[in-house]
Amino acid sequence: MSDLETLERTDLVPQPPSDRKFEAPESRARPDIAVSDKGGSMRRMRALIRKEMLQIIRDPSSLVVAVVLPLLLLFLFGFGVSFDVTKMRVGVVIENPNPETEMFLASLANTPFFQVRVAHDRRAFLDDLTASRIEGVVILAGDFTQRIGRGDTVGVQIITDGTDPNTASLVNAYVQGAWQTWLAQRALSSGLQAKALISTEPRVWFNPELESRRFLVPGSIALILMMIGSLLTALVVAREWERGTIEALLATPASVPEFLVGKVVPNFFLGLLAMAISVGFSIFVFDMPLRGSIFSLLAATTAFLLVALSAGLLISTVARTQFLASQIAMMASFLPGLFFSGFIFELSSMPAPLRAFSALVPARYFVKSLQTIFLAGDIASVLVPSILILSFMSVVVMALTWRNSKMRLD
Amino acid sequence: MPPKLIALIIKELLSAFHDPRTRIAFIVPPIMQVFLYAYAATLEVTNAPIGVYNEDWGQSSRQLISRFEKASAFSTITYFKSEKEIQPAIDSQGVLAVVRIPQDFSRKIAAREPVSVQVLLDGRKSNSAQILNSYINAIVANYAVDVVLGEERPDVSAVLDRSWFNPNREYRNTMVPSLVGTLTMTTVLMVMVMSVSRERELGTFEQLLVSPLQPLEIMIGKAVPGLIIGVALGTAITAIVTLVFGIPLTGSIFVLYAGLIVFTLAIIGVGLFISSLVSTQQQAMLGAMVYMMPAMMLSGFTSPVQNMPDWLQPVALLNPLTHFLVIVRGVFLRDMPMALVAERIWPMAVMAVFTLTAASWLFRRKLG
Amino acid sequence: MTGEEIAIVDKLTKRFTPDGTPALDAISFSIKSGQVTGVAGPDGAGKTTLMRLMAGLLVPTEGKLTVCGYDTIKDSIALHHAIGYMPQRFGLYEDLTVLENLTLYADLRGVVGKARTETFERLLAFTDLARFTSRLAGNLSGGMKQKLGLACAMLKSPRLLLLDEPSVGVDPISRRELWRMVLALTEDGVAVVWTTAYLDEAENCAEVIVLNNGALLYKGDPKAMTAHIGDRVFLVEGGGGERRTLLARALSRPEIIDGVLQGDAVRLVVKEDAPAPTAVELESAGRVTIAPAKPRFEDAFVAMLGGQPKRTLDLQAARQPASEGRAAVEAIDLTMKFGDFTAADHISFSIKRGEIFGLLGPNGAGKSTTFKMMCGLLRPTGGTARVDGYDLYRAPSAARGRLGYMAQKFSLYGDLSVRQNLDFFGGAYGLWGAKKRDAIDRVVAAFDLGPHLGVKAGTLPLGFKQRLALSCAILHNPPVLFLDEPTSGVDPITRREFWGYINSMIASGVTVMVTTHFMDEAEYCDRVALIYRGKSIAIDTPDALQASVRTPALPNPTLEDAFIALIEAQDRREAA
Repeated sequence: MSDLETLERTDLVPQPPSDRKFEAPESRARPDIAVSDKGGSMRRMRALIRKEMLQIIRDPSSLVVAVVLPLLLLFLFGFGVSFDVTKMRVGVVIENPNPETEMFLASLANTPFFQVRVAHDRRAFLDDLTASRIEGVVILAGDFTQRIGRGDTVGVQIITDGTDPNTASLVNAYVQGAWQTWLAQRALSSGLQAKALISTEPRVWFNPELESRRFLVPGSIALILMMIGSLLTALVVAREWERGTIEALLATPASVPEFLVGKVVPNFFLGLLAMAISVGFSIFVFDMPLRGSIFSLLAATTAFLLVALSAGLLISTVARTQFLASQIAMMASFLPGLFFSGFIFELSSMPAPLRAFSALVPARYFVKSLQTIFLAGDIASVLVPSILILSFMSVVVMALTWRNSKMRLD
Repeated sequence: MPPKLIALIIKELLSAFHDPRTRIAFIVPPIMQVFLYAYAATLEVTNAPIGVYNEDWGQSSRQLISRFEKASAFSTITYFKSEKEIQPAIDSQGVLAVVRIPQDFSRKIAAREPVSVQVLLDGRKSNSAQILNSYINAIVANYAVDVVLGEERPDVSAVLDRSWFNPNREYRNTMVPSLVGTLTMTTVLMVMVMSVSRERELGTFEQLLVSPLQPLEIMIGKAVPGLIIGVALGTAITAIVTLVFGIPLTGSIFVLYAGLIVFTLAIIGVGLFISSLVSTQQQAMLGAMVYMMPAMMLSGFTSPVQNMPDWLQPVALLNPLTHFLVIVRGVFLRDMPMALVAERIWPMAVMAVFTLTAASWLFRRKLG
Repeated sequence: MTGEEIAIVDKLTKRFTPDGTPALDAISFSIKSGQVTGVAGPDGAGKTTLMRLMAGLLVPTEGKLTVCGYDTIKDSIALHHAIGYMPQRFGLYEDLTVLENLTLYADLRGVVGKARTETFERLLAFTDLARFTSRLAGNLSGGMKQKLGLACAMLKSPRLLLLDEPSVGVDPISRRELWRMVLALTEDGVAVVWTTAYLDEAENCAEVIVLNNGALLYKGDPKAMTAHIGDRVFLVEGGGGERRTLLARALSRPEIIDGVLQGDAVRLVVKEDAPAPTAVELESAGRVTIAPAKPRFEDAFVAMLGGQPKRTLDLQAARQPASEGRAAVEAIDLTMKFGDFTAADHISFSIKRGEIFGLLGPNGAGKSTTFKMMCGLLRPTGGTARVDGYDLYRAPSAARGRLGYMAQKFSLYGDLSVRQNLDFFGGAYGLWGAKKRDAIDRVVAAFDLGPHLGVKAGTLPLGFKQRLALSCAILHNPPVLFLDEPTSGVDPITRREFWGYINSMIASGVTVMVTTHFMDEAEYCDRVALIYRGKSIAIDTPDALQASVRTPALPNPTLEDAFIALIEAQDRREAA
């Protein structure tokens, strides 16, 4: 029960002003409203950038996204995904063991990438192949020796597991290779001419070791940066909505471009940090060479980061909760990046409409640039168009975001 | 089943599906991924641009080149007129490989002397390069065989190569069924992980705690809907795979379901464990992602477990998805009998028991 | 210039959906500078929408709005230079320190150089935050956050200051300080618009605007509005333990449009031109005295909104068995330690059957901790908690089955329909089959939820959410009800409705425990425990507490005065 009397009695609260006389208001009450506040724009942007950086430093989640996530993902992609069949478990069926078959078996077993088990019946390895315990079965037919002598075909049969076509092709290629080598050795030792008429001499440029990791890592970095870039900005704006801080900000003189710059700049540096960590990790742990220059790396990264960051901002104009924002960011960057950037799956083999779509995926240009910078060097014919296209994309996305953003609640 | 549990289960299912946006999120991304994987996920090399630098003037080289032209693996063939053109073409990735035929090619062929053709490959795309190399090799070898055919018996015995299981070696047949595992995992994990943390943030979790419901009952009430969702989704994707893409299920569907149920239980355990560990929805989502990424990458989904370094392989074996993918691919493509499938089921069952127990222990501890 | 019209609103309409009801319907008024204009109204009346429109954050659907001479949409940048705005959630960055928050807003508003240093000094002194400049805003108490929010809004000495519910959830001491700051501003000619759900604050304003359902009901001097019902307010004293039945009976009469409990007395408001109520009419058993009382703004407000909704709650079937003499709820030496910090220190009380007991105290005092321990949500480090004779931590299922719980902000499943919520809570408490059906039918009839069974709980208006939450809490017929801040921030109409339900439940034998920091709510309780810094420093009836601090200087203390006095006494004791 608070009467007016109660209020008036308390010293803390002065009388309601309705019957007080007022002095002429000081200039403080009606200040100069500098509507065209020169230098104000820079000051406001700096203030917003500073606020954002303080928040980043004090809130660990942004750092987790920029530091822990790339390391985790690189680790997974670098070690977990590999197309190099390093150890092939092969079952060899020798129906009639004899010195010839022993020699062939020995040459197979001595090859570093074969792990060989022997049996005498074709059916022995059926279960193993079905249960995925071996990659292939080599069958040396009963009359192996006679067939060889006759120059007959089909002395050797290889059965692969077609469930993994890639491995099946590679297993096949390696067994063929082992077979050719053995034939050549055998021919030399018995004086027979068994050299192939035409042989091919492969020369691999840029990745002579043909390590699949060498080509996967640049793609992984591109994918990681795309996800982190859009996740960072999408999250920070959604966070402002969820915490309610955006309402007070909207009522200040800050304008849309000032707001957007305030979000992009600090997260740009965070993205660069993530990139530096990724590149460092790749070079020191994965032994990736860096044949191009740091300058081109920086240029490509800048162009790409701007696209990723502005994509995140665009997402944040539609998603006002952190949950929704991160879902959309992940879907929009991970899936297209995985499929359409040329990172794992070969673009030229896809149906034409999908190939056309991939031209819109920014990661595609960054993957190309990174693969070139790491493995080949500063090749302008690849880098310059890619960087230009990425810059153009970032301008377009930023413009869209600007158009979609209003300093209002509706 | 006591009425309390039934009430919980009904509530969970209603909560998960009431929102049309959530319903869309359950349907659209999985379907999109199924189609994407079916059409875009391929490691084959078709349509690759190559270049040819022919220093020979004879007939043999032209015959060989015409074979390249007829091959379907190559989209365009660029004919270089000088050596200087090769480097920029490869550098700019205008061509993926260059075949270089030496000057004395036709002469040596006529004299039945061995000759070698150089193949330059772009190692930036090492996987495609290797595959392309083997295509080119095959064409060259075929040409060589044809040259000597009829004159002498070929000295070289060929190696006959066949594939059991997926004999046409279509990538789609292996990629798409795998989605039964991955999509079920991602969906069930997300639902489970959000269930507790969403209730905590909304405040309804307190309401549950104040009621006579025991922590164990609350957990079962959340796990059963997850199981229902997982099995339903797995069934739907299997239906799409078999009916829309015509990939046959060579094995027994009951075997598949056995694996699916145990797998879903293991994932539910992981999801509930994460959910009881964290306090906000955002953390729950991060936790789910932190689990899902390694689970996807280290499961054999994109590349075989065999290719991973030795020290990483045990980690793959701790992942329920690894085992389930073997089951799925086995049942679809290899008519895997129950006896072999069981070898993969029991590790998942162990993991399910372990994670569910850990989750319920955490639940009870946090509720004190 | 004082008295100048700083904001002119002309037939302003705002619709959020093209064919729905408008949030604001063709309202017109003007705001004068040099005074505080209050905006009062029930929840959902359109107060926040109005503030956002004036701040240029929403686009008007129809009508004209001119603030500080600018069009709010076309000249929004210029407008933002001229106004200060404090939204409901303060707009503070929790990861930034006090000084960093101030610096940010100073930069954004262009307060630099010497002006900045002077302004900071002035504001920090004003808000008494000078000692906390390097503390993170997230670590400030509710009251301090509010003061900081206000300081940030005041940085550039705006011409118009818009404050959206600035005193919600803040303890009375901080609330008074906020008022002090704001009134000092008006002396400088600043116009202040202050939205509030606390009607006693409305009385402090020079002018008040009353909104209801988007329509403008009144604009003018609050004292005039109060005077308007001057002779229609009466106080019925001497009712004693009977006072709740007295109130219920009074409300059942058509000429009595409003009634609330006020300590041991009952306050009644009669219809226009109706005579004073007599003891005979009220059918009271004992001797009661009925005397005219000085009207409050709240009385006028409720009368203007049409009086209290009359609803009779039929809960006969839920009559509780007679007590066996044991206490309904007991807390014995409840202690909760978080590491070194003692949140609750040997708190003891005992609640009789049929009593309404309140836990009162500022935020962070330990009352929520105590409450959680009593509900079974937090295991105490020491002591016992008993509900209906059952120890909460030794026989948890039995104890929990005996209590009903209504959380702050209701915690219903917003995505599920009313019926689905009822079905679930019934099942969760072990009801099934015919028993569940009957229980649900009973509450649906009692709370008139029938027409809304298929509606999603989250879309219900506040009053209905309250009813649904209460129904879910009593489905299993518990003898004890625990309510966590049930009506904080809720408008007076809904609040009266709610307490009407509670009163009828008390009549059928239910025991209620309430936590609150809202003084008026404490008036509804039979007894109150004052919790401060983890200790219960006083347990008594509200009237007795008020009497205990009566001094010649303070002959008629309110509960708020008692609260402040007792806290200060405790501080002195601890300092000694």
